[in-house]
Amino acid sequence: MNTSKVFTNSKNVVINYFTGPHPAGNVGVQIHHIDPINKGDIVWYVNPQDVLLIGKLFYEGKYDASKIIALSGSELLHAKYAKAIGNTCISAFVKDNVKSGNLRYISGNALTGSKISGKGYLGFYDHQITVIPEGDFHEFFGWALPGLDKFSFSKSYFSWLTPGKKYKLDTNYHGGERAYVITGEYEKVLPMDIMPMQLIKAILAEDIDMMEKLGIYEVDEEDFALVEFIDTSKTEIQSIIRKGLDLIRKEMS
Amino acid sequence: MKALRNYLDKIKPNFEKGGKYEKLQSTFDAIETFLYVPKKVTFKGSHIRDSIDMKRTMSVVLIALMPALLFGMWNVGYQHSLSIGETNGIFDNFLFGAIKVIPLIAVSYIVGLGIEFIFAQYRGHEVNEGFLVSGMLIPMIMPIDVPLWMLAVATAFAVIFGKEVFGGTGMNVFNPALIARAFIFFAYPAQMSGDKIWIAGLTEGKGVVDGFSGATPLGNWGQNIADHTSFMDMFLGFIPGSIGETSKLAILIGAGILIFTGIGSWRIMLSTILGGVFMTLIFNMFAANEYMKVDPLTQLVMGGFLFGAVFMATDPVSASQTNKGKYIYGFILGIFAIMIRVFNPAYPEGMMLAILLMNTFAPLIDYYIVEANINRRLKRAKKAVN
Repeated sequence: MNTSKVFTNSKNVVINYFTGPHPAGNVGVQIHHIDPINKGDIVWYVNPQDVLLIGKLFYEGKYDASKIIALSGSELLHAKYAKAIGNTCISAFVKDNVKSGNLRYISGNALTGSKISGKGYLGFYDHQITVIPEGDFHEFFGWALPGLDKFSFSKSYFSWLTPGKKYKLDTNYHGGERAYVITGEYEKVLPMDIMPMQLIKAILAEDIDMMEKLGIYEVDEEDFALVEFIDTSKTEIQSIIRKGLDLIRKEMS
Repeated sequence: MKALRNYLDKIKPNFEKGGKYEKLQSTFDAIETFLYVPKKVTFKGSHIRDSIDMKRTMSVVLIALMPALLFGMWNVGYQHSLSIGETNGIFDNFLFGAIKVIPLIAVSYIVGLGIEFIFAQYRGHEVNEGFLVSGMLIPMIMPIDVPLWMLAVATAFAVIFGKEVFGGTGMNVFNPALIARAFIFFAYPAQMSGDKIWIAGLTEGKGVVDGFSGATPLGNWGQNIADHTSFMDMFLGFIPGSIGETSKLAILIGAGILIFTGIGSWRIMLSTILGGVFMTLIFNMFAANEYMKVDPLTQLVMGGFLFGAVFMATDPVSASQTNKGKYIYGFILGIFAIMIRVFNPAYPEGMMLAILLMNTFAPLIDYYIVEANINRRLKRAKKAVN
């Protein structure tokens, strides 16, 4: 494994290595595998860019609010890295740099970011601006087509014939909200010893006791972003997890 | 297509709240979303969503059922030809079967979907797609000569008491299609058991060749008559039986589609088959009667075992919902199916009752799997405290 000297030369630290596709990089997933959170535990984490910020503050006495952000998404003419300061307005980065059409601007990434306008501001914790097409159109028999150009985690569209293909994903739900019918689907994209369906149902039932038992302290919204993405029932799973965490917070305060 | 879209947009307000036909809102919505994927966009959380939805999921299951259904149609004709001693071409046999089977499918869909539409409107929900599969399964697990009115009654019973009273799609305890079959089995046993019902026209007995029995291999064994139908005939499906169950090859093609697309649970299919084989091997060891000596492969290709394992036991709502639970659920299910078959001559096919029985136990199995997860977490927390 190729590790930067910055890490290997650091003293008084324990280095844990993670490899694998998303969500292997999620803080929640990593904590779960290093030392899972029990009720009452507090875990702090810091982003690499913020380590720089803190370091500069103490070494040079300077508060440097600049950060490197990624400009990404299919509707951007030039995807690149850029330097931004704090919660900057994004218009300078996207002006004359986007394709035409109805666009969705996101502060953060497409799975967990927040919707902003083309003149909106970058979120405090975000290091990315994503621009993707809006999906506000009706698709004639969309669900029945062979779907060579439809991205799906399942193999229910024939896009499995072209594994390396790149897709343009839009903001359409690609279907209506339904009852929870399919089982065993969420587990495939949640690499934690958590029972996603049971936890979601406990939150919907506002069963605080059950939520605790099923490990609500170990998760947050972003850990369920892929679960929400692949959800056949098209429910707002990240919002449900947030609701559960808010309920717990209210209960403990 | 533009004109159709414009027309839908034009008449849509009539079906919304306050409109002329607001009572038909769910119906309009079902038709509109059938024609067009809605234009609704995300607003928070994951901005992008997978292309799969419930309609796609259910249509993949329907496609997986097609080989068994098409073969079933042909086999209806073929078995009829055999019974009257004629030899007809593939096309003639298929046509005869299609004419017999299509009304069954139509009745099942019209009755079932009609009730679903009413309940969706009453609850203010969108119409769920679950019945697209149930409505196809119901005729496929029926004997060909089941009267249409009986099928209609059974379907209505299954949808109302098997599904809607529990809260609708996703909430039902039992597999709705099997409820329909069980309903006829217990309410009208003459139309669901015996030797003559599996072949079109045999009950009436017109023009039947002398000595033609029409008994299924399973029916023979159930009456302790050693059956000598060849393995290949049973595997390929040239035997009498419920419409969709006879060709194991067609069912395996369906299983392949379900497993490959990730829509059917391979865990349940595999463990059900292993459970069936396990039970058969135990019977083989004791071999107290001829039926107990039947080898595992033969048990698998007789009757509705494979159809049940692939298409009925895997119903995600009524089966075990946890991955580990699915292994246990399937394994016990397989054991019960073979046990009922061999021990209880009143129920020559144990699969239906085994699945319904295990539907009852699925929540219990899940309960213990979830408890195990909870206990792991508690143990860890206690260790952290000490």
